[in-house]
Amino acid sequence: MLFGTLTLALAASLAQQPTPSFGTIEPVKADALLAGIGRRYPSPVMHDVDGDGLADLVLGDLYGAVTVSKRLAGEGPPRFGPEMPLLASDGTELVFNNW
Amino acid sequence: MSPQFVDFDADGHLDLLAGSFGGAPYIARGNAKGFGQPEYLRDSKGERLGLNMYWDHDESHWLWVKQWNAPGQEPPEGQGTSVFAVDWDADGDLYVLLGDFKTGRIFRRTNEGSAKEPRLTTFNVPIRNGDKPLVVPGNVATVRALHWDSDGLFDLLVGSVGESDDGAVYLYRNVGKTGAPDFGAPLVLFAPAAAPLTAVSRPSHGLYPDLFDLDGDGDLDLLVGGSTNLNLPERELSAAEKEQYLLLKTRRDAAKEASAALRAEIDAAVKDLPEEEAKLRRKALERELAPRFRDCSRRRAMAEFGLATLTFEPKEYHAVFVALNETRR
Repeated sequence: MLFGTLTLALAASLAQQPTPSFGTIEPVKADALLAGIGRRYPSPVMHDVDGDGLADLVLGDLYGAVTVSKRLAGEGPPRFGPEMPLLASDGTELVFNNW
Repeated sequence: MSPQFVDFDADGHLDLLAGSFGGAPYIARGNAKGFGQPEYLRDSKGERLGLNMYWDHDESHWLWVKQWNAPGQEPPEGQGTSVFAVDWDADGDLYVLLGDFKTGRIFRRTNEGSAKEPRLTTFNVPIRNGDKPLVVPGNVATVRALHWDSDGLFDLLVGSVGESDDGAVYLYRNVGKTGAPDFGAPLVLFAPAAAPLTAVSRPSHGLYPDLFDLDGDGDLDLLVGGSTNLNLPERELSAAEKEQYLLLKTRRDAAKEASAALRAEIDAAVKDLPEEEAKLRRKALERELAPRFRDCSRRRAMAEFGLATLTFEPKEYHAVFVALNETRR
């Protein structure tokens, strides 16, 4: 699913290093939905939460919720499962008192 | 918020650090079974961390304070919404960086203890760029320390808030030495939007980045979350667009109704209870029903996402995007 294209050419250059450039920017999907949709200011970080050797997509947000979308095994571009709450060791949802 | 998984106290368990809009950094301490519930990250005197403005959860209002200013310094009003732990001086223990949502500065708290027993100083020292405080254009949504290049020095990845639609992602390369970081001019990894957006094609405000090798090709790809503001000029919809509009509107309204039904379910469950008991029961039910509320919220948001270019009032969308690194090496 593409929403426009944006080629990110970078103005600055690094001495003795190639100028970094990024390709088309695309929304990330978590299961059938867009990652972070319905939340406010989703903040992603990749981390292998379940220890299966694949980094999962962890999202925080403005309201203090933290979710995990597990990376699904398989070839090709990364695919992620649905956003599930990250649980504390007592089985309750981890909730940061964000505001 | 921008969570960070890090073993903050070197006890062999990863902890989870996160900033908050209220201005307090939190830590969910890791244990053998996972994480405890988050608590304030505290300094050597047991006080919470913060810049000079924060939300008082007890009194429900903003507070302006000076006690965390570095001696002899009067930094402008700052709201520390992001936190990141990093071994600043390469001695094996972790300092803490605090990003300022209001002025674009990045402050640090020195660890005067050890890796196993961190003791963070009680005041904020601004990171400098030459003889001036480093100031991020558009202020700091979040700051992360990572290794962009192979020089062995950590670099700073910063997502900016932006005034309106000009949020961006900057990389401040560490041009110092091991144990003595110094930062040059920012490299723009993701530029501000060049023109008003006509589709939800990218985040444009409040950018929260991470760099990770998503496609396994050996370089770092850009993940970035944030909001997109749209304010499209009104136009006549085609017949197909009108059909699509009705379909999506039906989905959106169904999600809204489902959410309202959950709310009504809670109201009915607590209406005959004494006030205090009702409050507790409401909270418990809200927690229990949270996954269903979230599902409603996401389905509503997906429908609204589809309606983005079919409706013409100002609106805001939030999502996560990825751009693969295509640098030729």
